[in-house]
Amino acid sequence: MSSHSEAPEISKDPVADSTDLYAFISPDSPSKVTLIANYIPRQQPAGGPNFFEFGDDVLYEIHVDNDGDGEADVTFQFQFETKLTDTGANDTFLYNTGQIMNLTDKTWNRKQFYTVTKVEGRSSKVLARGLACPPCNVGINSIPNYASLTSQAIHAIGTTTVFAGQRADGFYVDLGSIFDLGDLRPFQPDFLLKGAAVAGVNSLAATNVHSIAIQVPITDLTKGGATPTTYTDADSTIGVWTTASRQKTKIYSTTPQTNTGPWEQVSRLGMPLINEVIIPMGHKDRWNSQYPKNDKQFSAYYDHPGLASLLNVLYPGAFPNLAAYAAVASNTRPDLDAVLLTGVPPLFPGFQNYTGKTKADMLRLNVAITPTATSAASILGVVGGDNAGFPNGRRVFDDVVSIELKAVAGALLGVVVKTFTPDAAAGALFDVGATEPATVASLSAFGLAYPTGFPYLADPWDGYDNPATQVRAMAG
Amino acid sequence: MQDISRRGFLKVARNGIAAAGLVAAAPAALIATAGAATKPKAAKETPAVRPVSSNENLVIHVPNPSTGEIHFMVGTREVVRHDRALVARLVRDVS
Repeated sequence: MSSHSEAPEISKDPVADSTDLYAFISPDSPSKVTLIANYIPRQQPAGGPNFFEFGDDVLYEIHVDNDGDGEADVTFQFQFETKLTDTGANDTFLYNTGQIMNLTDKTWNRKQFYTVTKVEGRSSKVLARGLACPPCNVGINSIPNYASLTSQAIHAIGTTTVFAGQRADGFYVDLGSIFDLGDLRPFQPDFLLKGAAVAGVNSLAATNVHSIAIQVPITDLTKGGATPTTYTDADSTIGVWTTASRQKTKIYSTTPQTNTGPWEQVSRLGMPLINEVIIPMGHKDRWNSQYPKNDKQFSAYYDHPGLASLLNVLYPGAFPNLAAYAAVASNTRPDLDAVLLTGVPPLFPGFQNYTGKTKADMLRLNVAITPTATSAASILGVVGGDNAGFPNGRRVFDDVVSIELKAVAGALLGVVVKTFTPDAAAGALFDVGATEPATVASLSAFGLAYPTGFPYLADPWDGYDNPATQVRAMAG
Repeated sequence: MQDISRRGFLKVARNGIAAAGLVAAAPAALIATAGAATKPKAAKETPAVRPVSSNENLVIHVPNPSTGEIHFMVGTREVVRHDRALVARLVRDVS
């Protein structure tokens, strides 16, 4: 979650496994769009001698569609290269042989560099080569000032800014409760197997991911380089998704492994949680190989989501209206279609991100909507009255699990199906906390912090203290 | 190909035949054909294709020997040909 190990095959290939995708306009840079794709889920900070790194044999891409056809009009490609500082002189087994104060330090043995390429139509242009990643956060002894390394790893390429490297996972979810028969801890008194209400926990607390972040002018992404001024402008919404691809063959041998053949897409991510909870198990691997333009083939799973039919069983009597609606086979889910597949038409004041009839899994961002100051933002996004948040793109702190739980439970269905009255429980659903968190500040209770500047995800948890801190707490 | 044991190769051949070698070991005409015949993919779907050099791997994949279909992969390119005689010869060589 939101796409950590969401499909059988990609769960065995974490280096290519996209975990979360963000697209937003930040208050500190309102003329630019920030795109962040996270990979390599659930990194335990303590490790060694080998730590996490991007795959040199993986093609990472962030795609942008600006005309609503589900095809990429602008793509940013990221390809990595790993280099050993110690090429045999010392033959050390270590990741680092001393403190790492700068990205060029020889005490850091295993470095990664990357190339950024921008593709538009059939033209491809390398924006920069040899950009340095920061190291993994080994621990406070090895890296006493990680923030300095983060700063060094933020690279300006003209008007574009990029960063690639380890970050704290900003996503939060009570994974244990959701996949243990949907037993949301705050709602246990209403659960099929009744229990006392307790606070939901963040199962991803104190874990890291690898982020690819790029911040570009709005005009680099919109159709014709336009600067939409109102949210109703026809070209105000872009669609974003990320993919990871591997070459078709890999030859294992005692000499360096070789990869040959065209790139084959093995992972993709647009809207959060789609392959996780909408797409059936038997189709998840294939879904990862598909392009958004072909997502109409999956629309039946949006029209009849399995989770919706389970809710009234797991929480008897809590979702009678949803159960009655779902019991009619001809009833579909135009609400989910809008939020998840086509973008939302102008049904809400000040917001729309409709991109046309093409059903495509993309994170849709209306770039004409003014960003909300972090201190005033609702982590429930549009549902919480904050049109700058999910499903208008996705900010790093948006509570997409609670928002999508509410949506699947029918909280928005009455907006498009006038005869439907949402169940009271639909709007109440959430997973993390004892009461529903609503502000960015309230997430600090779950160990979450979000810098207000690029790359907007916190420095990674360090290996010396994590999981040591949690283990000590358990020992009392 | 000489590094592949007979048992291992036949195991692969149950579902298809795969062979890897140096470009230098393959007929030059084949490589030229492979490059020239590569269908250009939309740039949005693939990065720039590197030129073929004489020391790159050539991977040959025969998904189903009975069809005579043979896939040649060099760098990030792939070209598909139908050559029953070549496939038959490959099958014979590894049997």
